[in-house]
Amino acid sequence: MQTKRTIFPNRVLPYLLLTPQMLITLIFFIWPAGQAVKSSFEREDPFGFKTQFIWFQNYTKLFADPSYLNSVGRTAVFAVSVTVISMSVSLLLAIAVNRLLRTGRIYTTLLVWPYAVAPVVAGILWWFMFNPSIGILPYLLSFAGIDWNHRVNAGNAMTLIVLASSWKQISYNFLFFVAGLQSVPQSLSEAAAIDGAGPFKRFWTIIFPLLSPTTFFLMIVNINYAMFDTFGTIDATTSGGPAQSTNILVYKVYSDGFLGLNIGSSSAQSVLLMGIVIVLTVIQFRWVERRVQY
Amino acid sequence: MATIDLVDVRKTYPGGAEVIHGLDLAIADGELLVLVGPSGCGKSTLLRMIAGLETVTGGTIAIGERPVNKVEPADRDIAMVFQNYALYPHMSVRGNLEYGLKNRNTPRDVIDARVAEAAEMLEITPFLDRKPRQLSGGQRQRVAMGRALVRQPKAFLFDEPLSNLDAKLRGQMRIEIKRLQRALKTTSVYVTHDQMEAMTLADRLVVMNSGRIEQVGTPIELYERPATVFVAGFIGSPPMNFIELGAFPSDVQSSLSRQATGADLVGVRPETIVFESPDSDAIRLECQIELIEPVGAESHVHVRWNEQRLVVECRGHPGFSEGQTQAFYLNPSALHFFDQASGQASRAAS
Repeated sequence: MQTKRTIFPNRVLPYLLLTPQMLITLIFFIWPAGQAVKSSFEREDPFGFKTQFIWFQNYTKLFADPSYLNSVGRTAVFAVSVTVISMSVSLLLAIAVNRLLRTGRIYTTLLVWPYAVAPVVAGILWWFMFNPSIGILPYLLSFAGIDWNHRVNAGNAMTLIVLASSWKQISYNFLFFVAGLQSVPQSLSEAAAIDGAGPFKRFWTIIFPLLSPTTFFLMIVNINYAMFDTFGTIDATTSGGPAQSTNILVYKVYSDGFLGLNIGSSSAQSVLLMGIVIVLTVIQFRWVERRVQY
Repeated sequence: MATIDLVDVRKTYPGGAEVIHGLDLAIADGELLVLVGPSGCGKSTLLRMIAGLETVTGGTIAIGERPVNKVEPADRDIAMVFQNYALYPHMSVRGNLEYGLKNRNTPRDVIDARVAEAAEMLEITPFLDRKPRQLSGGQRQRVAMGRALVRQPKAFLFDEPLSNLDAKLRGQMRIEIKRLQRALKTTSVYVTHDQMEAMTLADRLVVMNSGRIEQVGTPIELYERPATVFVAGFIGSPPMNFIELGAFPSDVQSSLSRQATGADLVGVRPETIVFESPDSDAIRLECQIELIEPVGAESHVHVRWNEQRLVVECRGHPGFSEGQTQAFYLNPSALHFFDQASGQASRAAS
C-alpha cells in the first residue's frame, strides 16, 4: 500500500498524536491479555485470597477435561455451520440482487439492516420467535409434527444459535459478495454464454473462481465472528445450555471464569482462543497481500 | 459457413426507447461485413442482437436461414471477439481456448488438434500455458481471436476488437484479421467506429446513424457515391467539405444547378481541390490559408473562403505559408450534390 509520508517539524508531536491510541491499546488490550497469560499459570481460590503458581497445570487439565473437548467440538460444529449458512445465503442474495438494475439499491439497503442490530437484541429476537411457550415458530412447527424445545433439546438449541448468528452475519457477507460480483466484468459472462456454458456452469467455472478472493476473506472473517462475536447472541438465547450443548469456547471462558469463578482455567482458555485469533489473522494478512492472484 | 439475414429488426428498451428502427440487411456467406457509425448509433447493439446477448423486440434474425430470435447465444453457433477481450483471467491461454469446446463435449483429441492449429495460426503457441495477465495487449487480442477460431463457428462477430491497441499494433492486427478471414472464408460481422479500419477491412460496409442504415455498399462505392450527407461526411479522411450552393457566385450557381436539379448543398472531397488551374470550367476560389498540417506524403491545408472553412489535401509540401492568399480550383465533375432538407444525395449528371 502506498502511504504519504508526513514530516513533522516537531519531534515530540508524532509521539503525542500516537499516545491516545497507544494508551487505549495498552489499557484495554495488552494489559488484560498479559493478565490472562499470567493468571493462566496460576491457581486462585474463588475469593482471591490465595494465588499459587502452577506452571502448565491449567492447560494440561483442560485437555484432559471432557467438557472442554466437548466445547471444542461444539465450537467447530457451530463455526462451520454459521460460516457455511451465512455465506451461502448471502451469496444467493447477492446473485439475486446483482441481476436487478434499478431496485438493487433498495434491496441492498434492506438487507444490510440486520448488521446494525446488536448481538443480544438479535438473540432476544430469535429467542422470542422460537420460544417454546409463546413463540410463533414452535407453534407453526408443531403442525409439521416437530416438537420444538431448545430448552431441553440439544439439537434444537444448536439450530437456534446457528440461525440467530448466521442471520446477523448475512448482511456483512452480502455487501462483500455484491461488491465482488460487480467487479466481475459482464463481458466474461457473455463470452462464457457464447462459449456454450449455461447459467450454472457460468457461475461455477467463471464467476465463482473470480470471487474466490472475496470468498476466502469472508471465510476467515466468518470463522472469527462465529468463534468470538456470538457471545451476546448465545447469552441471550441458550446461555450455553441445555447440558453444555451450546457452550462454545468463548462462552465457556465466561461461564467458567465469571460464573464458576475458576479464573485460572478460564484464563488458560482465553489464551488458547487468543492463539486461534492470531493464527487466523496471520493467515488472512498473508493472503491479503497476494490476493490479486487468481 | 452461413448467411445472416436481418428482416425489419427492431430493438426497444423496456423504458420505451427504440434504438434500432426496423433494419433490413442480408449478409452473404463468407462475407466480411463492417458496421460503422458514430458511438450510440446502435451498431454494437445490433451485433449483440445477432450474438443473442440482447433480445430482439421486432423482426427476425436468421443465421444460416434458421431464425434465431429465441435461440440462446450458445446454440447460435457464432463466436464473438469482445472489445476488452473478455479472457477468463483465472484460466491459462490453453484453458481459454478449450473452454468453449469442452462445454460442447468435444472429444479430447479434437480439442488438442484444434487448439494447436489455432495457436499455430495466431503464433501464440509459446504462451499456451501462461495466464492472460502475463500477456501484452496484442497477445491477448490474439488469444481472444483464437478462442473464436477453435470453435469453427458459422460466423464471427467482432465488437471493436482493436480499439484497445496502440495505432501501430492496430494496423498489424487489421491486416491479420483480414488475412485470416480470407483464409477461413467464415461469414464475419465487424463493428467499429473507425472509418479507416472499416474501409480497409470491409468487403461491404454498412454505415449506421441513430439506429438506421444510411447506406450499404463496398468501401469504394460509399466513398465515390455517398447516398446521404451523413455518409459523405463520415467516410473519408479528412472529411468532405460542404458548401451551400447559395454561397457561390450566381453564374456558378446556375451552371451547377444544371448538373443536379434541386440540390442546395455541394460536397467537395479535400483531395479533389487543386491549386493549379486545371482547365477553363474549374471553379476558382480565392482563399486565405489559416493552418497547414503536414502529414508526411501530403499536407492538409485549412483555408477560409468567404465565411466558409475548407480543408484541402495537397500532395507533398506546396510551400504555402499561413496567412497568405491563394487561389484553389474545384473540378465541377468531382462535386457531390445533396438536398439539405432530406439529407439525400442528388445524383450528379456525370
